[in-house]
Amino acid sequence: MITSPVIKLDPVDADYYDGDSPVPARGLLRINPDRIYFQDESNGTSGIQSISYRDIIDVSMIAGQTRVIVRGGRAPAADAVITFTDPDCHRALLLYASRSQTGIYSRISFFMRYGTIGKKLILAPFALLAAAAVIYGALFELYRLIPVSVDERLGKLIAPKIAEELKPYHNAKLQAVLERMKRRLVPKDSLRQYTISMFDSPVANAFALPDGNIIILTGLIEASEAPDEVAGVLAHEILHVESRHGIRQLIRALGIGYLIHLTIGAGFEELETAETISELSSLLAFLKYSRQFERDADREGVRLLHGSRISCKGLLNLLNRLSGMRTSHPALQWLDSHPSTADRIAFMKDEAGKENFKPLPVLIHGENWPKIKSSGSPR
Amino acid sequence: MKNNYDKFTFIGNGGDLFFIYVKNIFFSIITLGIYIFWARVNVTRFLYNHSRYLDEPFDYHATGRERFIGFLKAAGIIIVFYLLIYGMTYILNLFIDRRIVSYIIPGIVYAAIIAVIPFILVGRERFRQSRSSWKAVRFRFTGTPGLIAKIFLKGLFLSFITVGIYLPWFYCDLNRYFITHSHFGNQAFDFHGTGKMLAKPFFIGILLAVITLGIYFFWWGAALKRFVWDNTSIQGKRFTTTITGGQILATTLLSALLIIFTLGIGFPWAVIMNIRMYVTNMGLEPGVDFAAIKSDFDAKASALSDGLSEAADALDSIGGMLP
Repeated sequence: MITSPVIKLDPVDADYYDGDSPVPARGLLRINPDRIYFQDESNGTSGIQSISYRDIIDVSMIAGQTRVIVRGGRAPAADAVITFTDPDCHRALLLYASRSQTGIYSRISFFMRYGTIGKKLILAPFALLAAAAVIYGALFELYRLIPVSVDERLGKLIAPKIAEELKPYHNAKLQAVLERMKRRLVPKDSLRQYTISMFDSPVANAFALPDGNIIILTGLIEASEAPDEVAGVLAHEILHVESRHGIRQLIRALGIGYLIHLTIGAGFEELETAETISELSSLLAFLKYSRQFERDADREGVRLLHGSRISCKGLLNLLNRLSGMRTSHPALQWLDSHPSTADRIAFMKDEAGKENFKPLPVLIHGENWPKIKSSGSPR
Repeated sequence: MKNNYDKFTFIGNGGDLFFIYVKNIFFSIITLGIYIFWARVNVTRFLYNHSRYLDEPFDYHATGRERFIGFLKAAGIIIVFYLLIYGMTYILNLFIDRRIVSYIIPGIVYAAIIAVIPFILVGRERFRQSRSSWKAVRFRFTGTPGLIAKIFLKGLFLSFITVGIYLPWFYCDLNRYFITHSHFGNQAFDFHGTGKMLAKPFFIGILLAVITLGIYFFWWGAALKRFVWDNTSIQGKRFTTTITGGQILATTLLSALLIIFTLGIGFPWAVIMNIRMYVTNMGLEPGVDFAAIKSDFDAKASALSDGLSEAADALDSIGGMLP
């Protein structure tokens, strides 16, 4: 509670708009510690309005004129407005009004509207910390509260759309090899169920759905020269599923999109440019986090490979081969969903150099990778 | 502007609005978006308070709280509606061929959306006007959803069968509806424009817009605004606006560049530029007898319609973001 002394003020000229007529009553305004009084000049003492500070809805100073909006004008449900130009009265009014605030909400609300800039700046770092904690929690940790069953459902939702676009590919021998790789690579303590589906496409790529369905495109198989190259890709995709990158990506995309939507044009109604900028910014943020997840999957995928005694040199060879096929200008890398192939190659080289174990072969005796690769057909 | 008009003025500046913008961003983020209703009130109140006629500002009395409650109620209504549709789909699928149901259900949803549009248009306008005041006297909107639905149905039908020739009459009917149902206190506004008066500038404007690859649309838009305001009056005293296509083009370009090159930081200045252009071009013939005007507050206006369109937008955005 503020305990500064009572300010002695003389009455000042003011206009009183009663909410019933646009023609104001002219008179004198007296700011007292307990109430404010407006005396209508034309009505003498019978025209005195006594107003409680609790009935004040808003106080603003615009172009040197103070406007006080007060609950309960003469017209039913309308507000009255008192205007005056004395700055001392303005300060006194705010001081006494602040004393009349009871309850934490009204005190905070009053402070936010009329508190001094200095006090607000002192509180700003704490508020920023609180904001950072809320945003961090919402964007980065919320997925921990979401059951894995949601990932499963999300995957089931996406799978039919892929099946609509791509033709399934059948190769029993290859499928058997991939299943064997999968069993070697999936962590022993994993609670996820993995399936491997192959689709016919010239694109050298693979991706994982959040439910553990790993999609391998025939372009990738064609581009590979050895099975450990595909094993490297499989490890990378398994890591996406184990780390729940799908649902995390979705939360971040939605969250960042929402935050940017809130930030750009906050409070301004229906601005189309704001929508465009917020959509572009959301996309860039989405791509940034996509690259981060890919780096994580590379790093941890190598651990999976090493844990299964498979060298990451296979993946390194594959990346080297693919680097000639996929290039983007360095200045445009922030538009990519993946880190640059050169960065990924450098990382894999580093990891391959550290390998100090004898790799176990991926194929069993008598199997031949080129033959396995070519023994399939689209269904 | 003719000398005998009292001009409207605008005294807001981008710097002051920027502070409000920063505050809005901060609280919108830490409240995960709930503050957006208060944020909108803050901005609208600022713009109203700095728009003036006869050196007296306008006021905006809506509160973030009532807009938030309106949104919650509306979201509840929409969710209940979706649950009903979901239930109806389930039941119909038990008795009717699924392909037929896949036509019936979207039909019901679209019919419901179309039916609710007039209520939203009218409800939003009622709420906006009932929360706006000048010299503490509130504005009031008395239009009904039935009437606007009738204007839309008639206008769309006649515009269609006349291959667009009816459009100026449709445009006038809509403006007449909104203006003559708007009141300042107990005093209604009047509209004197007719489709016949508008037809020539309307079609010449469209023709020139086509010839100039759309650039003339700014001048066409300005001509429409001048037509509407010059034909609006209160107590027989006419409003006017001196807005020109050149002003609209320059302001639109400048504000778009400002927003894009500052990545949104320049919003407040862009908004101020636009509002200043519209407000300061306006005037009203002097001589309105304000002493004869009395308050007539619309106590039943609520934020529900505002909330309905906001809730529908929010659900639409969420739907759009999901895979």
